[in-house]
Amino acid sequence: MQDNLEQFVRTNREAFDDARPSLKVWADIDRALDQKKSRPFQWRKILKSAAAVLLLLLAGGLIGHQISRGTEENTAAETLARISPELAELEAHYNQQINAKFAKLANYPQRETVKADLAQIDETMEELRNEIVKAPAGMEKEIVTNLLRSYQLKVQILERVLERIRANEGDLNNPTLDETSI
Amino acid sequence: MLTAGSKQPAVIKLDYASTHREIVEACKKGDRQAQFELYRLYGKAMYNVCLRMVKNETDAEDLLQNSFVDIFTKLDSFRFQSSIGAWIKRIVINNCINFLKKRRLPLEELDVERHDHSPQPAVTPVVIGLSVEAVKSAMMELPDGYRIVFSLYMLEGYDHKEIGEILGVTEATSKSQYSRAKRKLQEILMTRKQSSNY
Repeated sequence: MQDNLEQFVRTNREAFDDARPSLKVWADIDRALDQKKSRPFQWRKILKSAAAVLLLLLAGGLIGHQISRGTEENTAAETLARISPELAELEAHYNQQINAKFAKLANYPQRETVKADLAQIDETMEELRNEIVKAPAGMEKEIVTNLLRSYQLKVQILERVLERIRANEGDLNNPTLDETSI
Repeated sequence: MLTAGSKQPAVIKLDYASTHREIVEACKKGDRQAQFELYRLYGKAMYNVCLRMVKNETDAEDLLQNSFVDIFTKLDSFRFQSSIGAWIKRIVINNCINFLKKRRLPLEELDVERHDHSPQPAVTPVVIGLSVEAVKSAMMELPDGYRIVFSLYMLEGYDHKEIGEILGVTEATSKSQYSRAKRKLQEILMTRKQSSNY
């Protein structure tokens, strides 16, 4: 026999799930899954494959562009916000991480190389962003995913370089920082 | 989400078990986009499950994170014998219970012998002017054992036999625990109602 409390809860069941986890949770899951894979870290390879993906996307985008020219009034930012409302917040989260880690590199010679690599990723990301307005339906989500992966790649590069610096500094027999070719 | 006591015909049930099959298959291959999709589908509901179990937002987020890493790691063993939602929820709940045990927040209220022998009221009290917010916050005032049994039964849709299995107690314990929890909740709600009238 149901009393009115039970009835009330059953009727309003959906409303009990109103809390939202922060976006940090997914970012941490994503990272944990990467670490689980524990493959040797070869980000230059990743960069190359990112470039290949970009080329494919550009080709796909161009074809889509020929087929439908309907939604071009939308700006890239508007389109991104529509496809992935949480993107802006995730971007802020990643940028904050990236800036904090990059700041730690200030006094190390690796700074310039890393800066150049990050700039290269930035270029790729810029193209991805511009591509989004022309992307055929269905491809948009993939672009967003690629954008997010680019952020993760940046974080990984920085983490890797910082890790190496720490390891080298710990080694008293070898006080000079060796050429980092990761 | 899942509802208790499904009376749907077998065909629909079968279909239900294969919900999100494509996403799950892609997740099994380690497709990160599919994993994100699965997280998007179930993350929020599972966060609310965690919050009800452990009460605290930081702990709930940690549990949500660890549970989803577990889920993606163990997904290979999922064979579509239940719905993916039910499978996910069970992992989340088990993690929450383990967390509570480790924190030595013992589920001592489940030890029925030690608790509350006051007689059942003859008439079930009718709480007037219920709101979701009021029920949620009153639930947070319940002792852990009461809150957990109440949540598992009323909100997560388990029956007493399943709750017994989850918590390692008998079905009868779950039942009596539930009715005590409900009574306590009604008391809290009515006390509040009265005090807010002044």
